[in-house]
Amino acid sequence: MTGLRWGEISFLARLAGKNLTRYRRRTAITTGAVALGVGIFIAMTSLLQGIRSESERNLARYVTGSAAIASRGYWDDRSRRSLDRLVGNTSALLEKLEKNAIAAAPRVSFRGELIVHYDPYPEEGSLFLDFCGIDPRKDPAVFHLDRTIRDGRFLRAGEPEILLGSWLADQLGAKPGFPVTVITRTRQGFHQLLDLEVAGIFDTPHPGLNRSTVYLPLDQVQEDLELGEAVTMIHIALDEALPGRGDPTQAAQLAGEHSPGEPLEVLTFHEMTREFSRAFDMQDSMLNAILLLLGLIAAVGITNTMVMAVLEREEEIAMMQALGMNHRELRLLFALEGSTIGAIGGLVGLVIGAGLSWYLVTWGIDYTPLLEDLKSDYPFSGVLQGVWSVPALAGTPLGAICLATTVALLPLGRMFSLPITDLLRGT
Amino acid sequence: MTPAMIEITDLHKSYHNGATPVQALRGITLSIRPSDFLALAGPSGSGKTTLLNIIGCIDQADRGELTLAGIPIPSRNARPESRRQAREITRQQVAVRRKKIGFIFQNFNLIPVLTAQENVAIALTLLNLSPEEVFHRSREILGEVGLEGLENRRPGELSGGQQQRVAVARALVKNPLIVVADEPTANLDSETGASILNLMREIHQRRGTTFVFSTHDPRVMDRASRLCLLRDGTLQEEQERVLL
Repeated sequence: MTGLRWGEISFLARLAGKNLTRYRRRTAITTGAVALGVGIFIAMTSLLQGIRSESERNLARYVTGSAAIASRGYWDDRSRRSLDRLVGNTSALLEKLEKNAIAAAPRVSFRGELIVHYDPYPEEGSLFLDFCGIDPRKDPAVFHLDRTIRDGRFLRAGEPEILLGSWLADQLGAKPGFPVTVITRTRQGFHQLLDLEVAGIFDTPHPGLNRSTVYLPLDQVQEDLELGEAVTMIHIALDEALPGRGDPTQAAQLAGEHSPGEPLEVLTFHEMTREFSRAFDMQDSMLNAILLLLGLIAAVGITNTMVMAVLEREEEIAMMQALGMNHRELRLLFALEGSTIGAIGGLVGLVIGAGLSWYLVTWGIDYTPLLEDLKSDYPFSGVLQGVWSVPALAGTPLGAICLATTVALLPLGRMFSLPITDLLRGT
Repeated sequence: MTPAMIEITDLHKSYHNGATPVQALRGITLSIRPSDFLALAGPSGSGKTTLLNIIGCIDQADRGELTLAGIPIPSRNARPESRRQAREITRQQVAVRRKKIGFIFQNFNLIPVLTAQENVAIALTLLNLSPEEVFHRSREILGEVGLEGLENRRPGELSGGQQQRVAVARALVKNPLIVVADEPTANLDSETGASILNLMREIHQRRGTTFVFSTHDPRVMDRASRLCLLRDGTLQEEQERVLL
């Protein structure tokens, strides 16, 4: 038997197209299901990728920078906020980094209790929070915190003051100029009580920071905690288009040269955000599960349509076999019917998905009230914005076509196992 | 002596009707000439349709010999030695159906979404002819069966007789050596049935195509050049007639 020729393929394609018009409602419902699946998947991909990219951006802009230099072992033990493993002699290292045009921001992270009293606050209370000493002059070279001041002003070096996050300030009823008391421990473990004044209130797109992190001038912290010029980490900004893409080799080299005896290490963005990456990988797995579910729904719909189409056309299929049509040609006919459903559904789904993606990219979905209640530590703001996912836009409709073509062929197996004479009798 | 178009020797066929085994053909031997306009007659269950299906290569005999235009068609007992051989047999049967046999069904079996012309064109499309030739030949044959001007109508827009004419055109358009028709007039009123039979006879005489059809209608039997009466899967009687 020779291969299929163009005239035959063209005829089968026309026949497939006409066959789809036999039961318009059924075809429309199946195509609609495919379109909906494709559209939802594209939109979900847009949203979840948007959340991931916003989270990574926020982590880089407010928490990690492009990379960071820390004492070896500090990062793995960071949950204790211990002041045992510090980077010392920082002014020399910062100078070296600056000479090599690497923007650097030293920070000291520690734990403490923030206490407020009645008048001017509406209520008395205390909270255990994450405290961070930052250098008001150097920090803006790496982080964007200075650009997020909602009320008051950014910190000034040498001033006994504090920056509160917007959610925390709203919860406490704090305003710039209000006093706060902080209880913490020095490097040697002695209790230290700091009387500070609220300099400003920041509002970052990172809800966790707005809720539970406060910032103080680095020099005040180093003095009060008896750290000398030591810091917990020196964060650096690298030339990179996306977080984690920069090359930290030079910074690592400088850190190594800085003090050969001192065990310093350079932590990359990916090392510092591993936990979030794991969470997002889980999210990707969920997305794949949703894809599988949507695929199954579409597959069941198409299979149902094609099973009906095959059963209703038993005699017709037998007639075509009697005329000399072979199994390959009949498979092609049904594959064309399935792929047409997939193509139309995929195309409509692409339009739906692109429309939803446009809405998500332009406007996003405001989840602020939900996130406030959830007390989420996810590093994205309440307005979830999508991104244009080209692989999803291009790949999902193609996937729909492949799926529809494959499942369209399933019912033919049974049909081909029956004698033509049985099919002609309609048994 | 003219060689036979269809040579059947000791053909046997049985099948199961539910759990009940049915002996449909019990040793049929028959030689059909190219000039035959042959009717297979007999009561229901006599084996007419089974014999037609085997001649049309859409069913396989259990045992016995069948030769179509010199091509031996294997029976089921001639078990293929390998899968490849089995595939080759299937390919050969498909090729025979595609090129040498035209089918006319009792229920017309037209595709409702295609026009009369497109229904006829299916048979030619499978022969890999050019689209122009497919178009011209299918319109020509429709004219020949009296459907000129109705080429673009769908089956639902045609009467039963017109639909069967489309089916006749579809069977004949590829110039087959043999046309197999299973009760071609059973679903038609007597007048329309007669006109279809006249059409088949005209084409038989004009083109010399061998026709083998089944019927239990005495008026149809009267128009056959040769009548084979079947009963309980055996050939009871053969009659030669002169076509008027």
